[in-house]
Amino acid sequence: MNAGLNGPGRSFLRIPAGWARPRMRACLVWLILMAALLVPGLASAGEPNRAGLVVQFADGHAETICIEFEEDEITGSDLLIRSGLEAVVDPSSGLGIIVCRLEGQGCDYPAEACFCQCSGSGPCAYWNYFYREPGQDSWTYAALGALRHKARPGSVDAWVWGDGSTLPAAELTFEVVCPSPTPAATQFVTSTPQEPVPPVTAVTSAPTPEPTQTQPVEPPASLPTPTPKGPDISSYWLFGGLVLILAFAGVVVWLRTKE
Amino acid sequence: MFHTLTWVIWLVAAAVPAFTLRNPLYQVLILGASWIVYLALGRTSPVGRSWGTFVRIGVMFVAVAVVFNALSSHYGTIILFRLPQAWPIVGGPITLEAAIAGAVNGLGLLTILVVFATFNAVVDHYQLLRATPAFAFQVGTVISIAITFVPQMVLSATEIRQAQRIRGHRFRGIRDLLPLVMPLLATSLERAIQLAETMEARGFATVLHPDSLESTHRRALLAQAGLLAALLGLLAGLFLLTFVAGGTIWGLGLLILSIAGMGIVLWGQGQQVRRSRYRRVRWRSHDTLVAIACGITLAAVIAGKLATPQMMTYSPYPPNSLLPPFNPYVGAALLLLALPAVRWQVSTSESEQTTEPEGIQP
Repeated sequence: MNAGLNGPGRSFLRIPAGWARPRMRACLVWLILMAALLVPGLASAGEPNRAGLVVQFADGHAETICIEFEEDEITGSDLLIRSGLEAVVDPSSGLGIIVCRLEGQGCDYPAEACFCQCSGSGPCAYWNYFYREPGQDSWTYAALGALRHKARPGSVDAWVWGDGSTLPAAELTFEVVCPSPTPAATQFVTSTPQEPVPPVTAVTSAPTPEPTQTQPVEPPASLPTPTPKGPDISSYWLFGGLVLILAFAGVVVWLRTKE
Repeated sequence: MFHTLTWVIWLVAAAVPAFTLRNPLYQVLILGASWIVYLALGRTSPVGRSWGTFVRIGVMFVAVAVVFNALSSHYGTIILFRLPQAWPIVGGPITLEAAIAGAVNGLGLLTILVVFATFNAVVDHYQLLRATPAFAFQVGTVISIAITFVPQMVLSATEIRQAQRIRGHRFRGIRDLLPLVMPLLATSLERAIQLAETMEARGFATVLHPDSLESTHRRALLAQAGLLAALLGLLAGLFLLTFVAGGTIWGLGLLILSIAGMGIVLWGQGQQVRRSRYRRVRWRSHDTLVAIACGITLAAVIAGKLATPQMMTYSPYPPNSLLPPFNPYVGAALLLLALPAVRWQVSTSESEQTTEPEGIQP
């Protein structure tokens, strides 16, 4: 600054500068925050992206689902949720999710441990997480959990019940899982050794953004929430009664001991 | 008052469900029962004043757990709001399920804290120390001295502070504490030396059979070696059980053997100590009643765990329902934990007419 500047001019310059500096800084921070918020939102436009999902059970048969999404990329857990499969997960570690049970195979999580077949010595079985980036030849065992791993358009995620040594079938590429460019949810079953499941394939539905899962026995509209998990509401009346008894006893004791 | 053993049984019956039942409905019932016991029996004791502090700490745990879990666990279908994905750990959807799961975790901690705070408030610490098993008598003595030392030190600190203030000293900063700390240190050391002399005069930690000094030493060495071997066996058994395939039977066998060995060693050490009771607390009918009630609670919790395991836990995440399941039998059994309060209220209202004699017999 000019050293000759003094008097009223100096104070005139100084006061607004001192007043504005924290404001400016705050504005800048807000701008950066807003930009961080907006940038992922701006990019989503155009036709929906697709990624594949493979679930391979203990008997070797696999289900494949093709899932559409509007975003640039979604997490592996979002892929799992949007597939409509019945997935029981344990997110309590705070570092990500562990899949305990998929479509009835696995551990009944809140009641038993999530790695119920891996406790103690002996063989271990759990839901392994693999992925295949677009154009990748082989499956990769995921180093990150499903909450952190990003599924990009053209990639395939796979869940395999096993001890980590069983890889998903190599021929399940993205082109196989999501064969047609028509925006439709497809599902088919491939069978490996002695599994006489006929390949049920490609039942299409209306081009909704939500992928509808087609299963031979169940109507697709029904939500995959199992009914036995919902508690009996009538037992809540009993709980209310117990709480009332406790509250009454507490008030009586409190009044008696106050004297 | 109730017998010390009764309170230990109550603690086991309240702490086992508090640790194992991860379900907010049962936790609320345990909290309520503990609160009533505290109200009825714990408010008069000097330690009872810390009960409120424990509750405040527990409520803080709940708040922290809600925020932490909601920010870190991004799983669930009911999305409250979204943070940008680019943010390191907190980025992503913030779900209601994650917040609820955090609250349930915090509630579990609060329940455990309140159960132990209630036990702390209602139990007589000196009676509890007298009930230490014979092999741990030295530890028991040390703890009882420590417990009496702290109030004594607080008392002498107050005295010294008052004396210094009369002399015109003002305590304003850390530097002003020096005239408080130095005399306090001196008094404490003096008291410790006095205590050591007193204990030596009464024969603490001396040889029990002076005619056979050699054999006593050998016996002590043998006991320590036996304890070490048993502990190593325990470790090896756990290792076999956990990490070695097909080692289940060997591991279990080693575990049982080590525990038995440890029991024998400790029992042998306990035999060395002769104890006499001066004032014995009588076990009365209401102690039996409360112990039976606690046994019923414990049995109901274990039976519920075995018969309906999915009703004992709770996970708000999909595909589970947001509403926790509830087994009314276990809930009613948990209510029995409040029995000491009710029984004591009834007995005090009776004694208002008859003036019951003290429960301590000489």
